[in-house]
Amino acid sequence: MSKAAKTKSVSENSEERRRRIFRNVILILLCIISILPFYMMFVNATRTSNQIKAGVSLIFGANLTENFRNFQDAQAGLGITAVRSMLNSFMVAVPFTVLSVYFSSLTAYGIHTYQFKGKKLAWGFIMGVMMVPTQVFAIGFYQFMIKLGLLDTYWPLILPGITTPTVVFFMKQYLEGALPHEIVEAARIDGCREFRIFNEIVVPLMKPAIATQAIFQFVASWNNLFMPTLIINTTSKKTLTMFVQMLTSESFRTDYGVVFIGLAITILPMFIMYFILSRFIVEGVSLGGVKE
Amino acid sequence: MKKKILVSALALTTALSMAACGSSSAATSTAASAAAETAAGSETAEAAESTAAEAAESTAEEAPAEAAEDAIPENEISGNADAEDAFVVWGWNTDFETIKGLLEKEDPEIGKRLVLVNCGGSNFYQDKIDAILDNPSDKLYPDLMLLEAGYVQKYVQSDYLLSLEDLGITSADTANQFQYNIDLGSADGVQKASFWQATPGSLTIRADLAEKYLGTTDQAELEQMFSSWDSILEASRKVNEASEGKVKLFSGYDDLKYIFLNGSRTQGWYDENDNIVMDPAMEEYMEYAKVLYDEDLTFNTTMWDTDWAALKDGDGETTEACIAFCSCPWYTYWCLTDTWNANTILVDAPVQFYWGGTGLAATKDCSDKEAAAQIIKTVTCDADFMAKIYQANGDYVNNSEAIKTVVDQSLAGTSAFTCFNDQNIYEFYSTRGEGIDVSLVRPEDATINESLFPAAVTAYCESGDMDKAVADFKAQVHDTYSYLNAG
Amino acid sequence: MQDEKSTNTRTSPSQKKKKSVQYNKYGYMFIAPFFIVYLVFSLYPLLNTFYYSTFSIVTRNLRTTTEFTGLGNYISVLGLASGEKAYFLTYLGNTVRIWLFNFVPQILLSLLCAAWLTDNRTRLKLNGFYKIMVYMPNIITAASISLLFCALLSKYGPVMSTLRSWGWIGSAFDVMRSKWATSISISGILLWMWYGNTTLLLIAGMIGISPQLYEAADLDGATGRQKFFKITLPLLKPVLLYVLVTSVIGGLQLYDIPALFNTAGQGGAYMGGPNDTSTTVTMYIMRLHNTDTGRAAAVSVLLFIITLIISLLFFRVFRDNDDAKLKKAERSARKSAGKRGA
Repeated sequence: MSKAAKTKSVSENSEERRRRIFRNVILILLCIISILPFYMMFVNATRTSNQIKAGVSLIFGANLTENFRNFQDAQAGLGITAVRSMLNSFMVAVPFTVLSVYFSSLTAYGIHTYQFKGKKLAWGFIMGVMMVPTQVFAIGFYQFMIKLGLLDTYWPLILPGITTPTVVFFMKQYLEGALPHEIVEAARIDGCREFRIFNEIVVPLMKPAIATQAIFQFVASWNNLFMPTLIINTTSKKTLTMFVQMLTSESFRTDYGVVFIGLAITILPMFIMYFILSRFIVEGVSLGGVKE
Repeated sequence: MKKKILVSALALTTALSMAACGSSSAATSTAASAAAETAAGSETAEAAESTAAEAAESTAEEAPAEAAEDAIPENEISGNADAEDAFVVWGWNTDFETIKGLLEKEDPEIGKRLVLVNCGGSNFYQDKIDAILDNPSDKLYPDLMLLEAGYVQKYVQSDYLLSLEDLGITSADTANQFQYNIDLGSADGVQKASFWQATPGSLTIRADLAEKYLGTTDQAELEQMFSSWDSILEASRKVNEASEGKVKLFSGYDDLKYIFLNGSRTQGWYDENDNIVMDPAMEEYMEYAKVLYDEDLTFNTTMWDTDWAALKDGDGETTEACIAFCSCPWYTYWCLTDTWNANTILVDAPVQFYWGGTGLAATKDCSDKEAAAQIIKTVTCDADFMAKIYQANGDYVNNSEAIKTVVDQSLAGTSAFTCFNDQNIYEFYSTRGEGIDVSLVRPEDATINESLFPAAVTAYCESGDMDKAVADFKAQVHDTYSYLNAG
Repeated sequence: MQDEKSTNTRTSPSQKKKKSVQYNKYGYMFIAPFFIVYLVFSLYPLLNTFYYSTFSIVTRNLRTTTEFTGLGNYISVLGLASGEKAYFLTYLGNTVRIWLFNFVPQILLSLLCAAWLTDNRTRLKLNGFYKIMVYMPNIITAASISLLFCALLSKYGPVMSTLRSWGWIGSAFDVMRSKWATSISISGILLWMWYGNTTLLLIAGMIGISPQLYEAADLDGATGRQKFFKITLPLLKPVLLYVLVTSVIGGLQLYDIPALFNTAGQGGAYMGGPNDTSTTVTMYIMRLHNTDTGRAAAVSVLLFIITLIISLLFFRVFRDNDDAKLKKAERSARKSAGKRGA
């Protein structure tokens, strides 16, 4: 392979170079398109409302502190701060993620390792419900939560973490490649209990899969708007996405500068997280696809 | 070992967050959950905050940073909701905050007990309060709730409010309230909601732009220009031509809807048989909107959207601007920006109308009826106290006696907002708002007026097909409120 | 997947089999939490939704009346009764339109990007960087992104003001007042958010294609285009199918972006402007859920049925694939058993 590549690169003609340049130009353009809206958002967060209205600028303005002050005033009338809503989102997303990866690994391991009656049915069921979105049973869910007295609490947002079929599917695929049956057998011979085998041998083995899925489940929970809107009532309990929704209310719409700085504040944490973890995330997406 | 620490840290974080979930069971009220639930703007909050921070510090690494940032004062709930005698008031903005301050001075006993829950936007208010009204055991169950004209009837007609009579407030107490506000808060002649704001409508004119494009800043002359729909149309054309479209008279035809809705209409959105009705005045408005639209005489904005707000501050040279907005007393101190300070002229619209208004009502399971009665009495009936409300925030109060005092003694407000040439806002409004008919108000008005009807107007402007626009509108109202008949 | 069968056959000699049978009851315990929670938090609510959909549950002035209507709610939302408009179909139409204008260009763009980024002949140095950048929008909170574009594209926002001053658009043009501009903007946001994700999935699929196939084609003197259409595309079918199905189902529940993009000043009525043309099915559910629970449930059930049909389709195709693999695995197991026997 490397030999073939070498011969090719020697014989690379001008057409090849032109093609390379062309592709690079297009891809860089796409990268710019990816980042530009965010860049414009950050720029506009530092400009006055009238400057923003006058048109696009790529140069930072001098109005950041003023905008921030106005934003603070606006959110003072809202009943919740952006930071508080992030903390709320964090309180939902972390336990959701932990439950999701742990119980999905558990389920996947159970199906992978043991031969029991109904196993095929169970697996078929998980595959079958993989595509059923929460939205379709939201009404029943909402009414049920009212009956249980769980409306306006975080439980309905956290507990469904135990049942994330897509993660189970991913974990099972991973286990097939990463867990030779011999390891389990050997541990049994050493007298390990089944749950200890799972917790102390299987979970560490699955660390790479758990890490990638944890990121995705965290992001999914953090970004969820539909369910929190349905479940959470009290302002102080609102999650970040609900805070974003409140940016559409009267108090924020007064000034473009305030709108942009508000958005910048809500986007910043994810933005930073992405650039720190981007390598894992990109790898994780590739792993998540159907493999042949 | 390291792994174990990580796992236990995660487990702890989970436990902490779950405890902080705010489950209503008292058994789980650990320090953490108490901290999360009471997090408030008062002194107790500081203590709570620090316990939360401590608790977080011992678990996850990210948490302390978050908690530290969280030091920004929070006013979602001001007051101590956990107190035995907590008296909870629900609203959607900080409107009641000032009044709470005044109450604290007037009657520290009650003032101290007040817990304000701010829902953070009128869009969400109904959904959120409806959910809690069924649950009187919730510690944030409202004892008093604020109600806006657009949906006050929904609650007044429900079984969830006490009547003023239940509270021992007599018609003698409310004698100085404007009749239309009493009607707005009543169902079948029983008053349940009591308003402290009166909201006669007017137009606000931006003086600097009026000078430039209308050629005058004289109030009487401007009044003449805005005295009929025809003269307004003329003025719109004049401004549009002179500025080459950079400045328009109104931001959108949507700005005029309340003048028609709350001034010209003679029927509500549906009749006593629940058949949806399109009042001729509303069709007239649609025709008028179409003229404005066809000749491009406004910027076609919708009220409360970002463009609408932004157009208030345009300079007319590099950025678009408009001269006139639909207005009322709360609009002047609540919505007008620095651009408008000492730059605002109030004039009458072609017809008298009202816009909004906020009232107070006690809930069915109110924890302390005496306190509720006292607050309602003080805030909505006591002329002296209401004059103080004006002085504190410039509110135009629902009390003819108080208004007389303010105008006669020319009491100074603390609100920094003034009009052009020191036109007196109170004096201007004190003669307006007579003969307003609120019998047309329906419980569903907020949604119909703010979203369903404007959509119909826009549809008509663009298609020119009145019959279809009206039919679609009726179908849409029926779809949203299936108990109303499209006929 | 093929390892499972073969390992089991290999490492389960008869004396060990007994023991593993006694272990196998643990299987139930391991999968129990998933199924119990699923039953309580998903299946029961789903059945509940079916149940509610047969009642007229209308709240007026906070008083709720409940009445059995059978299929009445379905008849109403499908516009089958006189005087009723088929809002469900209208909103489904909006949803599908928005999805379509996002998906078609998305798949084409992603195929192009994936082909370029996996091309060994024309290796791009910034390969990793490109992947990170194009995927980025996918992870940012959709609600914020929707509002961001709303602020950027509003009539007197920065982008439109600039385009106006350049004379590219007329003075009256407003994205928020044009059905097609709004619809295409929402599709554009979705395209922008999701093509990176699709590209990465396609890359994973393309890398999985055996290099020998390409080498053989090279020997036959095939052009790049021929290789793409004759080898890459056919072998990518399962991945493409997966992308399609997840995208359709995701598209049907479209909520965050249309719910915030063009809904300004609309009093919380979940009405996607202009004139209701960007309202999606899930926004409709949200609009009705508090005041008209029965019809909201009926809309949910209809959405469920559509989703179910699509998932079943997916499941079938997937199972066929699985079966093929199973057969392959069995063959190899037999082969290895045969070897051991010999």
